[in-house]
Amino acid sequence: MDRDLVEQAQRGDRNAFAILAQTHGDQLMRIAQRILRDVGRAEDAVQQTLVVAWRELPALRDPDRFDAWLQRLLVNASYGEARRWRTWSANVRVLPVDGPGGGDETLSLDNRDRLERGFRRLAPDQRAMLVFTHYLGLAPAEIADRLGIPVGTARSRLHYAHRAMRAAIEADDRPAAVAGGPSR
Amino acid sequence: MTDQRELDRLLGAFFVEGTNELPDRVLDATLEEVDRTPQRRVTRMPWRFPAMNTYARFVAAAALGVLVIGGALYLGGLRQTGDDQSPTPTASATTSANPSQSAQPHAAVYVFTQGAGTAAECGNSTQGGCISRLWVANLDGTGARELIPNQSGCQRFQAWSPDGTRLLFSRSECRWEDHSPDGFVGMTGPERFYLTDASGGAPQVVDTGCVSPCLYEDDAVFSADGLRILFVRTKSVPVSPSASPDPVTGKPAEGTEVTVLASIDLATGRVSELGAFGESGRCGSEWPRSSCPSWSPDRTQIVFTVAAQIVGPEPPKDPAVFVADADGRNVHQVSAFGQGPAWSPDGARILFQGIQYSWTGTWFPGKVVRSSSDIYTVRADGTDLRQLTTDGVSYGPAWSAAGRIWFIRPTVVDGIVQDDGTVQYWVMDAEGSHATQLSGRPPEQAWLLQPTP
Repeated sequence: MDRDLVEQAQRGDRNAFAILAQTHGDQLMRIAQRILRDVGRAEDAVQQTLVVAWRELPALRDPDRFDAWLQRLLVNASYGEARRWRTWSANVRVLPVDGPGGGDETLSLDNRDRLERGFRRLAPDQRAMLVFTHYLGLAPAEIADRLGIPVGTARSRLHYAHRAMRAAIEADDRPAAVAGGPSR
Repeated sequence: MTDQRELDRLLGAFFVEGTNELPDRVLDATLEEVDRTPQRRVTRMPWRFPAMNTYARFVAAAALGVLVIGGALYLGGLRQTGDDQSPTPTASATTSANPSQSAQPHAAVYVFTQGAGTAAECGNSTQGGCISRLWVANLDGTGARELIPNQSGCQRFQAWSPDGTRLLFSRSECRWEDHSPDGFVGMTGPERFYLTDASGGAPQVVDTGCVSPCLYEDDAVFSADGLRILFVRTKSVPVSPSASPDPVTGKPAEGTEVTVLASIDLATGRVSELGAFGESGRCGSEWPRSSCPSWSPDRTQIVFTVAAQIVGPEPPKDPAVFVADADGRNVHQVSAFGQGPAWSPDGARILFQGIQYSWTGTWFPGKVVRSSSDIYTVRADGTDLRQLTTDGVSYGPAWSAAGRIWFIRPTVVDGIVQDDGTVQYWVMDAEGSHATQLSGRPPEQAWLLQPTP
């Protein structure tokens, strides 16, 4: 079904693309929010992804790879969002995340806090590796294929991401803030 | 020790939480945007080379060869007419801190590097992050290397000397900024100016005597004769003990920051404060440096950016470009959008990175915002605005001494901006024509180019 819709959209059929956007939108949102840890920025990334997908769709050679291609666009859009945020972080304010407060009860508040802090310190490409591995359940070779990176690179990013998260879990409580004036 | 199985379990549980649906308002806004967005036109070859017969292949190959050779000769001719290209890419940038080579001009690259933090520079070993370091490369972009690899800390480019043989930069210790949403490594402690030759040899502190009430100094530039350095000093003016505490933090009032224009004579070390500097001219805590002021060639004016707010309850504002006299007076806006402005070598035009934010429908907090970045020039009086690139992703423009424009463009494959470090150097004429990709590959996350004068 997707292949037919993709081919129609490639020929300029906006209705076909709207169906594709509705079909894939929730999954894109789930991935983006987990990489960026911010609903507003995830919405930005998804919108950019879908608009770029529409614009560049005629250049997609294999319609069967639409899903993987879309996720690759999303990851790149998420990188851009993360970088934009990082660059301008001195001038922005945080919007609250409105995700559900529940979750797996086996994850203690303490561990959740440590994981959150550790995850926010990761580079965007390492975050994407963790989300694709532990949320989508993909193997490094599959992730490499989707993101268009060498398998070795995927494994390396995953290794360092795991190491950083392990260290975050095991770290003693650290001071909440570092003394000093505003960064410049 | 957390074993892999336990880590897998924790991460699995961690990612269960979160938003699971794309809001209808975002999908609607996206489809509205799609309605306004034309699709890229793709030209597919009507034939494939291997499917042709031998004669047709020969003819096609010969025609292709003529095109390639002709193109190479044409480009070679172009390069010989410009002075942005090194006649022969020298090895000077890849070799040596040999002072005897210090007169060889280099192209400097100001680098924003992600994930390069080390334990020594960025806190404990669990912390990655971003540190800014200076890199140099040959004028064709090849031979990129760190300028002073054995100096720790965060470095920021300040200015080239007028003859291109010396480079002024600032350095401080790096610090993990833990209360940022993503976290990043910022600069901490005293940030001091350093002067080095163009090969990075023997960096020396330029002692400007910044002690209390001096807070910090920034935005330095050489005087036109190269004998002095002009810079902006920020000082703290004490307030009355009876002043009200900060309404947000409740902490006692700490004083008011004021900025003054100052200079140091490089021969005698004498520092002079030349007078008040317009508050609106400060780049303040904006980061990276591409937000900060640039001086006119005659040092009588500055061009600067008033930074944007891109996330928050208010609608995003494009960063705007302003010009003022060096004393901060006669402020006037020259562009409603843009950052990283720089004066042309002849002082006639101002180059900047145009950043524009857009959204559909009525603004509300959390609205999806898109951004684009292209290269522009405008006259110093705000007239004759010219858009030089249209790809929406070009950034980091800088003038060369010959009046051409260097800039950075990320690699785009299948419509996807590659974010694996594969950005490219480009150079074009001041009118935006003859854009040529340079052969060298910049280091990871190159952020701002600063060619030698």
